[in-house]
Amino acid sequence: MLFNSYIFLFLMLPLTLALYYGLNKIRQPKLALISLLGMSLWFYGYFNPSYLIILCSSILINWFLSLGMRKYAIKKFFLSLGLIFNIGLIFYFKYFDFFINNLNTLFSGNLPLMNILLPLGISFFTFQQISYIIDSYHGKTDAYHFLEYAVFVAFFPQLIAGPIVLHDELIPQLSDETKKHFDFEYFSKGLYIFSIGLFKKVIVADSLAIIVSSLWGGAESDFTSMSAWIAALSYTFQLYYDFSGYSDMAIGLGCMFNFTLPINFNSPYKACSISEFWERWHITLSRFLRQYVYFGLGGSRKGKVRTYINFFMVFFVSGLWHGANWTFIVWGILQGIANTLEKFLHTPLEKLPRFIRWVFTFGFFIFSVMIFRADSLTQGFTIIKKMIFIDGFSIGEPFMTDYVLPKITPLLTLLSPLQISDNTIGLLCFAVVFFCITLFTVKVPNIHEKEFKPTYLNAFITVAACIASIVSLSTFSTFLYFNF
Amino acid sequence: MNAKKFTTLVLSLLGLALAAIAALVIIVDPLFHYHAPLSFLEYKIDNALYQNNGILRNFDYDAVIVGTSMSQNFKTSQAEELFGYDFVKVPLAGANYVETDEILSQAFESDNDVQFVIRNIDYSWMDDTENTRYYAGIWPEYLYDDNIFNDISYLFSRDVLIRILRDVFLYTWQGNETTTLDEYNNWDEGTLYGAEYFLFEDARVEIAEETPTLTEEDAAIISQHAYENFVQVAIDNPDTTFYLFYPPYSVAYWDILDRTQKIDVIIDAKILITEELFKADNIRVFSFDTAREIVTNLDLYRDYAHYNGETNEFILDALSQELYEITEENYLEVIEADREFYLNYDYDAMYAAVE
Repeated sequence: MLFNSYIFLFLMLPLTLALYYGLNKIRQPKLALISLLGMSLWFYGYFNPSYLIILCSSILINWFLSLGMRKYAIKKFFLSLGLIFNIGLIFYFKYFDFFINNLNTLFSGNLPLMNILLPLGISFFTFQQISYIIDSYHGKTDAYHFLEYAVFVAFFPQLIAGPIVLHDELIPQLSDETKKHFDFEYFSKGLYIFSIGLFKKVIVADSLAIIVSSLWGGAESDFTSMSAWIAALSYTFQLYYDFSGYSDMAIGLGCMFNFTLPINFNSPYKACSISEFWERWHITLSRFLRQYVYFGLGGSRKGKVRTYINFFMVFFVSGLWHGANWTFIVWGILQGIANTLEKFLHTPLEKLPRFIRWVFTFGFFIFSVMIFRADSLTQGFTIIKKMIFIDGFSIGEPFMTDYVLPKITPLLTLLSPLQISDNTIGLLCFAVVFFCITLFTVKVPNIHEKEFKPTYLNAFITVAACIASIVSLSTFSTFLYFNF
Repeated sequence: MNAKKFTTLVLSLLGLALAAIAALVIIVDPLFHYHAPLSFLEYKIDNALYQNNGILRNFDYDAVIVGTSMSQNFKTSQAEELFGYDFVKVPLAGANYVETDEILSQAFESDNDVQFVIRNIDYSWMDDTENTRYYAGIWPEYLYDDNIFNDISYLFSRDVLIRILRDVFLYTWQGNETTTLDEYNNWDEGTLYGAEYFLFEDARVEIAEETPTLTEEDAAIISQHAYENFVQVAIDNPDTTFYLFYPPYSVAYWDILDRTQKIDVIIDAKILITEELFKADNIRVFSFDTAREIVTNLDLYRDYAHYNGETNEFILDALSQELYEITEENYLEVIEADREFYLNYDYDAMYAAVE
């Protein structure tokens, strides 16, 4: 199930809220947690019930391993088992076919692929549990009740797309007596943040997604310099609004249940350095990688060279975490190189004007994200080449005819006396749109920066964002019958 | 304002706004999902994928024209004059056999007593053994099923609100009249016909090196699909007469089949399908390939397969006079003659004539 679906908004969410608060009201906190777990499993299994087996066995095994650590002296054995299990699980479902594919290419072999379907959110719930297992090894976990642990992993707001919540952030809240009653303060804040997130995802990101898929759906040769830039900017903003919108929805939902979930995006496109960018982008992943990869490898305690290598490894793992393709790995390596270089050149870079540093940071992300989005490295670099070596100002076909012209027809009619070409008007429209989005993204304060206040304006924003998003969940297909 | 007031205000406004939107859509009902067009409003009917189902659910009729683009230019007024029934027309461009069958099934689930059906069988899907749905992923299932809960996709749809619903009010305000079923789904007006618009030597299909064949398994699947998608509905509704026709695709289309060496496959498939059709006594089969004056006259076509409105008129006339009918007695002879004709037609001369 997705947050941006009718079944979630009109059935799953109201029902879960009613069950959770209803059962707490009649003093059945255990049943309330069971209802939360049950509904979360329904939420997860709605996509594919067989995935529930993976999620449930992952929860059970990790729970018993941590129990073993507490009961027996062979802690290291349980930790190793836990790491092997979790990394093995994610490797099998996410990277096995990629691994075989590369082996086949390397040795001209013909090993069969498994064609494994990636279970939703496996990267998120596995990382949460890796952190739990490692913390258990270090004796940083309390003797949590199994039910609390299961809700911590499966709690639907954070289950499929993060934030990557740590056990000590959520589990204490689950058992906190003061959080079991409906609280208007939390709920109103939750409504507001959720609506903004929904709007970001459904209206902004999904509209940009149409441009992105329409450009990426075509052949590489269809790209012109201008359409490559349109694709690049559209995808850069789509990625941010999609992911941060989803995170906002998760945080908002958490609030509706009186829980505080960690902020995952803090206006990363405002960053003036790459390291600042990574402090603002997918914060809970960066935190995990810093905590369990960087520090795990020794952090900065083993000399300068090792520090740089450890630093680089964090970004390599981050790239790999995002997907099983060389494009993600190269993207991670690029981030690693840029971060390491920036660390190295820290002093001279600091002297540059803030705006210049922002342009470099944002520009670097735009280019690097092309590799991230590309189907292959060749495709990614071809598009980047088009972006750098400008071949003219044509938007290019078929994008111009299929997407741009139908959108700007009224404007073309209006401006026809000026005799400006359709291409120029199209380009100007994109320039205006991207300028506005950039300005909005960079200038408007993040909703998590300001304290929420229940004002009429915020009530209006909440209702308007919700209505606009709800009626945009169902659209008619603009299916074109080309083979007429 | 405090948090309690904020929450109450937001939830009440949300509830009210959603209720108002739903009520408006149900009352005007531009997709005719709940009722026929309201007499005091004028409806622009122009979206077959979304409006066919409502036409079948809530219009009054006792005969149906269904199929694909080959049936879009039929005029229900002509059909009514020739056959004496009240027709609705619900073709869907590009639809495959399953999809047209699904559309038709709605007619039999409605309150109307369907007496007569005219339906085309496209050559383009004949050798498809996968039952590939043309509208896969975008088929509006929520309109077709009887689940009232998924109607939410209709009630809260941006396109319904800002386009379809707006069109009804705009259309009424501008003094237009509800689209007739002669006009609905009809692209004849303004279309350019003639070989000069579509037959280009440069774009001619490459000659295939391999000759595709139908395996026994393929043949069994084709027969099974024909039974499921054309025959079953006739057997389930024995009091209804079904006129099924193979439309006259032009020789330019057969040139493609010739160069891809698929004429035999398609003709073999046609025989298999026809044999299935004979399993229902209430199905009558017509094949317009025999109308050589049509298929060889490219002036009647906008592309390789699509003919003009006059040809649709010709087809309706012919159907009413029971011309071009193929029966259990003559079908092999007629279809084999078509095979000979298409295998031996001088396609190069056809191209030369255009230049």
